[in-house]
Amino acid sequence: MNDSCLQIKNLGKDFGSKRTLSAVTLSLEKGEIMGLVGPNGAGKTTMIKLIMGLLHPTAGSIKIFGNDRDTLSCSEWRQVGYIADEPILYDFMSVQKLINFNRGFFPQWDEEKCRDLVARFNLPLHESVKNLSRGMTTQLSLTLALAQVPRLLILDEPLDGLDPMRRLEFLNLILEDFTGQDGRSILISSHYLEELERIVDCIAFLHEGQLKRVVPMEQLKVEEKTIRVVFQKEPPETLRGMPGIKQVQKEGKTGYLITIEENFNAIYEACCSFPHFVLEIYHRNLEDMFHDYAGRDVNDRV
Amino acid sequence: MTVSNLVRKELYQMRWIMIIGLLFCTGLAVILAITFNYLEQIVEEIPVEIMELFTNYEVARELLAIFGNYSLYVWSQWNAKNLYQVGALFAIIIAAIQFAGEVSRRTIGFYLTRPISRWQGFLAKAAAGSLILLIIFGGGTIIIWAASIIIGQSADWGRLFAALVVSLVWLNVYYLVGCIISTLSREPITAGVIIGLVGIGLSLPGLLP
Repeated sequence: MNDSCLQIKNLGKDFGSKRTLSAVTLSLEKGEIMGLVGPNGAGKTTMIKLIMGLLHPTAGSIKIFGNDRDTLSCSEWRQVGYIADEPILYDFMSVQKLINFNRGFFPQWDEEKCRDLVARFNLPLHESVKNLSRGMTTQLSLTLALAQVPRLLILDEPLDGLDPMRRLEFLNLILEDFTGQDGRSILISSHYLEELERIVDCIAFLHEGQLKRVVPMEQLKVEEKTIRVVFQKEPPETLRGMPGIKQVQKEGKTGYLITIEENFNAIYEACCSFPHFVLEIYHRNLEDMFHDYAGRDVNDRV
Repeated sequence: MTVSNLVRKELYQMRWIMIIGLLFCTGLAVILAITFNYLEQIVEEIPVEIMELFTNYEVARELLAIFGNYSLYVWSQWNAKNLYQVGALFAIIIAAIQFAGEVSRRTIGFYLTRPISRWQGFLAKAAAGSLILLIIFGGGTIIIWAASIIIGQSADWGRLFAALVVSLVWLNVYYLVGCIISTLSREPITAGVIIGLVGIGLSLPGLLP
């Protein structure tokens, strides 16, 4: 039995001579929440638009619920929720009219959940959509997407334009809605790595149109650690050559950030054996990994 | 259910075009009906010697025939003129904003990610536009009919309504061509210009002797 909600194989997209996406292969399992991260222009939105059928791939295939995206029936499409990077809705409608319009497409529409979300977000039902702020438009989009009770929810930069409180509320809501719901999956792209880290099961790094790595969060948390150490004297050269050290970055005159992939105990003991002022261990987070793949130079653009 | 939902959305979105069109056609229809009596009177007051001079010209003879027959007058001024000219204008406006309008307003993503087939999406927009053309021009024709009764003129309404059906069929074919052009364009104005040029192209055979 196929347990994939979404399967992407060798996906490629060219815009003229520009290659935006190249041979991307990934699989989103049922019940999984996957984060899609990468610097601006990495191809995240292009990939999501390809999944949603808003663009045609130059190469490769996309399967949703085990079926080819192009041959997906309307009843299967009803199981896919989507919030675009720019959630532009029909601004000639009122919030209530837009909800009514959307409800008509989904027989599985959860009216109670819709009412609950409208109340929770304090959405003005009789207000025109064009008068809503960016944050409220995103909240309305989420209301529409969650009330349709999708098995696969695809979110493209949904946290943009939301203040920290709203971001937290947004993510809590998604977790609340999807946790314990067997077989319901989410693909979410975002630049808010710290927040993303809280909710995703695995993370996909996209850079310059290429998928660099897909890693489960559990693995990410245990496999890589960083030791910050400030030595009293000149740092030992022998330390650098030890197996398992991924990266050594200098901090000040005698300070070092040592990223360890494996052989942690031996390296830690070696660090302890040299006179030092500071020695602390911390888990690497998404942002550290993001910088590894995207490069420090893109920091300002994110 | 899905297509009717989409059609309702299109009708709501284009409600102002429909209202303005209907008001415009109502105005035209009323003016057309009430001016006949005045024009008929003017023709009757033309001196005989000038009238004899007029009858030497084909165009003048046709004009005199139109002002002497209300059915011919309504057909020539409404069916043969306004329905085709004003109708084509409305068909261009409605078709141009259909898909190109969704693209330019950047709502096409929302539209296409509803669980509908491309065919259903096209059908809904085509059906809504056709319905609006029917309401505007069918409504206008009914207004002429009503105005004619009020001013006491009778006409061959069976043939005039049959002519309306023919005009609406033509308008719908042109509108559907416009919808197809609209799917290929990103801007409603560009789409409108192309649809207009296609309309001019289609009308060229009518200019041939």
